[in-house]
Amino acid sequence: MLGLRIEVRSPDSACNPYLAFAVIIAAGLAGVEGKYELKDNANPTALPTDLAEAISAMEKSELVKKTLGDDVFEYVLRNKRAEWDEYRKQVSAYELGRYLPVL
Amino acid sequence: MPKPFTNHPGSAMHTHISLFEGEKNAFYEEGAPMQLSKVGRSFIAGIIKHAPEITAITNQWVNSYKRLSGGGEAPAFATWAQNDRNAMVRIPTYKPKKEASTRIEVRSPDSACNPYLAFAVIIAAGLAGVED
Repeated sequence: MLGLRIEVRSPDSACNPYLAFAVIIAAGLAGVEGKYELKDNANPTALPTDLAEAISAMEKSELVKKTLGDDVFEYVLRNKRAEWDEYRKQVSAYELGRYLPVL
Repeated sequence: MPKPFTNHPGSAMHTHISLFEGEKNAFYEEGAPMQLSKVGRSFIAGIIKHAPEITAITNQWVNSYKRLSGGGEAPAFATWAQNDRNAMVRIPTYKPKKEASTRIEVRSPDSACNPYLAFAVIIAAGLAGVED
């Protein structure tokens, strides 16, 4: 019985574990305290498909803001926006291989 | 290819548009700001309003968005201006006695677009601005 647990499979090795555990636990506890109903997986919510979507979702989140505090919340968003902004401008080897021969 | 190099400006397909009623340039109005008529302003407003939904046609490659990511004299926002080459729609300066040349420049389309489809949606967006 002591071994009964859930496994959250989304986090990755790049996360800050202090912040990651904080938001995972906060999300779970919000479910407990708000008596969320566990539905079947018929129409699952898609996870963000890139960092930009993940940032947009976090920007709107009262839960994350409250859990991390205003300063950390804003700092993480600033940091992640800067990372995405640099990344989105990079022309990749894939693009050169696929598009340059065509046009 | 719209944006072959990360650190150099890309290749666009800046598109100049004017609208005629018979022999008369409908974008020209003497004495108006920038000599641009109400029809011209509404046409621009239509392009600005519908900008997001026509972008998959005017900029159809993954690489297109590397060009539209800010800088390099390419637009990242649906804006208009007289001289700013980072605006999506630019209004070229009017030159005296060149009424027939009064026009707007749409700076977002790139060389990867299908020009038939791109012109169709740009004109439709502009005309929606005029007609609504």
